Parts: sequence; structure tokens; C-alpha cells
Amino acid sequence: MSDWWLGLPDAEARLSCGGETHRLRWHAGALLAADHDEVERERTLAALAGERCACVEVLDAWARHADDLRVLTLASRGATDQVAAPFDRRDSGGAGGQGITVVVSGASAGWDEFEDDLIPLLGLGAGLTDRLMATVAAAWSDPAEREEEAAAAHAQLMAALYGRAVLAIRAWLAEPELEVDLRMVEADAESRLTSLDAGRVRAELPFSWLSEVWSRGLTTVCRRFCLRAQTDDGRRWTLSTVGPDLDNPELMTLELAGG
Amino acid sequence: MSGFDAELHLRLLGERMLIGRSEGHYGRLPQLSTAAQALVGVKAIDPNRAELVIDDYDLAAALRTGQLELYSLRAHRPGRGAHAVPLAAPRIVPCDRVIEKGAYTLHVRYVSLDDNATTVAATYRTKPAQPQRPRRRHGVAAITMSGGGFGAGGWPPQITVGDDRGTTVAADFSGGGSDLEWRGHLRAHPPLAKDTAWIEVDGERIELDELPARGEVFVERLPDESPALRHLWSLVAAPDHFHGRPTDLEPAIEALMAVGALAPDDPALTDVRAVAAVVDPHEHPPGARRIGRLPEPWRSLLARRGSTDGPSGTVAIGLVTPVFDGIAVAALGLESDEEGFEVEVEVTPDLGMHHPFEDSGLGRTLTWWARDDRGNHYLGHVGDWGGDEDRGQGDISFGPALDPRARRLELLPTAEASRAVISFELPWATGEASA
Repeated sequence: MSDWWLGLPDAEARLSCGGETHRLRWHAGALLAADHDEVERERTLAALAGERCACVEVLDAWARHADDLRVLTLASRGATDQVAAPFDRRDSGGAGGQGITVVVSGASAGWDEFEDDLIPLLGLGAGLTDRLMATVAAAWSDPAEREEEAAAAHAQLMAALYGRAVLAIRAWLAEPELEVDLRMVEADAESRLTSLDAGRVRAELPFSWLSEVWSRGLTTVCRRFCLRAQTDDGRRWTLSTVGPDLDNPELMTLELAGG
Repeated sequence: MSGFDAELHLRLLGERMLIGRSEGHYGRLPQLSTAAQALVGVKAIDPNRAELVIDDYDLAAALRTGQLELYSLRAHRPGRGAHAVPLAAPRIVPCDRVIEKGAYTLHVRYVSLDDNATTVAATYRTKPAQPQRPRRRHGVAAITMSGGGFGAGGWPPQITVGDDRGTTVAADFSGGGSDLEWRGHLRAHPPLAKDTAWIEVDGERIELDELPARGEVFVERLPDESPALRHLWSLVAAPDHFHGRPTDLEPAIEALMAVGALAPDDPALTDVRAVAAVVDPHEHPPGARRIGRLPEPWRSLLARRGSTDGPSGTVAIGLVTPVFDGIAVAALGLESDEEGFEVEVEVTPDLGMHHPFEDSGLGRTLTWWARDDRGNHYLGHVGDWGGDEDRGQGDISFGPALDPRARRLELLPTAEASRAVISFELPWATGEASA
């Protein structure tokens, strides 16, 4: 999963931490607390003082969920599938009590019982949730790295690919009810989109399509559907694409100019 | 069943529902629960695994509707591993005593005494300026807080109850009703002496010398049937707990066919769909010809739907079943009126018959059938309910109206492999009813 972040722009979110507004920055596949020079030292100091450091809490939660497939179950499948995060991050009150607080509108008093530290991560916004999805998708894109785990998680992997690929294909062909027969193929197998009878479409895509194509926003280019995307530097891309008539895939080259 | 991945089937269903969902739906995916129940019912997936899938997609749905507070109720779900606790037969004493209390009357119908609680089945009635006909709503906690003759908030007052040992305790009312009438139960904690010779209700002494209905209890195994069909029939009998509407069977049928537990051309499927199409109690009953083509017990159930000739009266039952399929039931009392009847029951373990968002529907369930000596069948649904993991207590609302010519009734709480038969006489058939 080396260099899976190539082509993904940096993202930054702000949150309240220790009474100040701090920045969380995602860069080259890693989340950083931009306003804390030494995170380990901050973590230790906060623990000794019995205080909470919101930036460190988010970094820790991010690390815990960096390969958590529930991220892909819960988060958005695409532009038409908006997650209405009913929570925000604010001071939790009390001396030194600066941390992530899940605020649920109309919540029952018992919310703390089932608080899930994944839920605040899904509400980080500013592109960070998308980067978290990309991180998880990349973590599962190389089957050789997780052979046994991937077999046990087959249903979650397939479902994560299905929801996103089907939504993308329907949007691309402007057919919201289109029936898509999705086959999850091996990472090195040929990716294809083909017509079936009764207007159905068969899609044969590897799970790595999520990391390679979908996470990078390359699903459709020039009205063509992207099956594979390869780059060495994040600036020049070779795309395998198919047109709306579902003909044979053709290669397309994209290159950023200038900079 | 080989090669079928039940978890994948459920997750793909969840995906289809999420990306195809319509605006304004509730923050959960009931069709996914229905499919999961079916696959658990034919043992195609471990219930804990199925519950994880349901929880994932219910949370995903809640995140899209902002209804996390509904998802959060799942934390109150009863444990599936709960076992039946010993259920001692309560002492049930019919009373039929009306106590005048100025602006209202308190009708004590029967008293239930056991080691845990004392319960007085009671009806409060106001004295309206203009006589009106109070109506009881079956299966609904029909709470109207608009005043009436009961003082602040329109809620019947707390009263005291006492026994022949000198114990006096407060009893709180719970139940449903309208401005004119509240029917429910006064529950006293700690309990009064189980063998007390009398109780005092709000200062009025009531001798406990009546005997409950004569009856018997036994357990019988259900006839052999495919697990898939048995599950579908139980879905037809159990409406959506939240809306009281029939459950959409198609996700279950699709899952059962996918797993190979149900053949698409199974002739019984025609019967299941035919009954499901007409069983909605909110719809007009089908015509006699259509009913005549349905299998029993549905034919007799639907034949009397809409009847309003039910007898008015109370039966003190007090019968307890042995444990069947890990469940035990105590039937305490029955109250009948022109539209139907309610049976107060206790169930151990509590099967989670609470708020629909608390329940994934994957645990053990009971279907509440009843039949009389005239060949009529009745179907019950959970009404008011409360309890803890060990035991639950509440009302089962049955319909249609009891046949006034029936002399004997059998309650049939039905589990997966067996059912209990709680059989008792209806006293009004012999002139012993309390009106």
C-alpha cells in the first residue's frame, strides 16, 4: 500500500483544544496535530494532569480506526449519500475538560453507554472523513498483506465496494434504479463493465478500486467510467476507462500542467 | 445452504437500502431485520453475527437521518442468553367491587398476589355531565392527558392498599384510557401477604373469598413444518411492532429462497402471501369467499373480524405454564368487551417486548394465539409492557371479539418448537361473570 495517498490533496480541520482553536492536518497519508510540536509529550502531560487534549484524542481514535471496515459501512457512499452528522466537537466543560464531546440532538441520558469513538471521526468534516475512508480502503487493498483477515471480512469488503461502485455507476449512466451485478475480482485481474440482459450491468472490480479510483475522485473522467488508475507521482495518471456504451476499456492519460 | 454467505446477503441488502433509501424514513432498516430474522430462523447465520450487521446498518441509517437517539436504544436490548426463572403461580382472586369516590368510581376487577408484587386490576370511571360511551382501544396505550375527573394531569390518583397483617402500602396506577375511563393496574411494592383474607383498597375492605376460573395447563409440540414456512407464518402473525401493520414478508422470502430453505414454487407460499395480504387489522375484512379459501387458523380468525358482539366481563385466571422452549408464562386475568379481549400475562425470561428500536427481533419470541370451543381463533399482540431481563409483565390484546357463545377459551403462547395450552372456562357462559 505504498504511496496510496498520491494525488490526494492535503486536508485540514479545526477543533477546540485546551481553550484554543487548533488544526488537524492530513498530509501524505498521515494525520498530524499541526499546533502540537511533540504529541507524545502532550499525551504524557495530559495523562499526568488528568486533562484531555482533543487533538491527541482525535489522533489516537484515527489510529484505532485506520483499518476499521466499519468506517466504510457507516460513512458516505458518494455525493448523493450524505451523512448528517448530528454532533459537534466542543468543550466538555470543567477544569481542563477539553475533549471531543458527542452532542446528540435530543439524546437520551444514556448515550454515554454506547458512545463509539468512530462516530466523532465521521463528523470531522473538511475532507478528513474522506481521508479516513481512503486510509481504510488502502489498508485492505493489498490482499497479500491480509490474506486470512480478508477472507473473514469478505462480506464487509464486498459490501463496501458494492455500495460505492453501484452508486457511482448509476450516477454516471443517470439511471438511479439500474441493476448492477457486481463481482469483486482479484487485485491483478482485469476490471470490466459489461452489459447484461434486461438493461442490467455487470461490474468486475477489485476492492483496490476504492483506494485507487473512488477515493481520489477519479470515478468518472470526460464522461467515461474509470476502472483503474495508476500514477508514480500524483501528477501524471494513466487511467483505464470505459464509455457509456460499455465498449472495451481504453487508456487515458491525465497530467497536471505547471506548478 | 453450502456456498451461501448469509452475512454477505444481509450486508448487500443493507447497501441497497442505504443507497436507495427514500426521504423521511425512520432511522433504521426494518427490512434488514426481517431478512436477518429469517436467516437466523433457518440457522443460516449466528444470531450474534446477524445482530452486528443490523447494528452497523441501523447506525448508518441513523447517521443519515440524525436519529442517533433511536439507535442508542439498542443498548437496552435484553440478553439473548436469559433463562426462565421459576414462575410461582400467583393467587388470583376475582372481586367485582365498585368503590364510590365522589367524582369517580373505582371498579376492582381482580387481585393478584405473589411473592414479588400485589396487583389490583382496576377501572377508574368519572361521572360525566353528559353520559358518553367509553371505548377501550385494544393494543394501544390510549393515553389522553386532557383533564377529566381525576385531578391534576387527568391521571388516576395514587392510593393505598392494605392486608390483614396490618401492612399498608402505596399503589401506583398504570394503564390506558380516556377522559371518562382508565383501565389498568394498581401495583403495590412491597407486596401484601399472599394469603391475606382481605385487602383494603383506598380504605374499603374487600373479602378475598372468590375462586378463580377452573382451568388446566399443558404443553404440546408443534406439528412438523419446514423452519422457513414456520418462520414466515410467525411473521404474518406478528405485525410491525411500531406501526401495528403487517410485516413486509418479501425480504424474508428472498433471504429464505437465497439460502435454499424455500422453493420459489412452494405451494404454501401462495397461502402465506394470501393471508398476509388480508391480515392487516386496519383494513376492511375480506369477503367471505376470499376468507373461505384461506387455511386455518386464519379462516376463522378473519371470519369474525369486525365483530362487536363480544361479551363484557372479567375472568380471573391465575394459571402458570411449565417451561416450554425455555419460556414460561403466567396468565393472570382476562377482560373482554364488545371489540376484543386483553389478557394480563407474565413472561419469563422477558423476551424484549418493549420499544421496537430496542429489539433486533433476533431473540426468542412468542406468538399469541387463542382458540375457543366453537372453533374460533384469535390473535394477540403485545400492548402495555414492562419488566426486566428475568421477567416481563403486560397486556396481550386479542382480536377479534370473543364469540359470545364460547364456553371455554384456550390461550396458546407459541414458541419455536412447542406451545403452551392454558385452558379455562368463561364464567359468563355459566352466569358467573363479573360485568
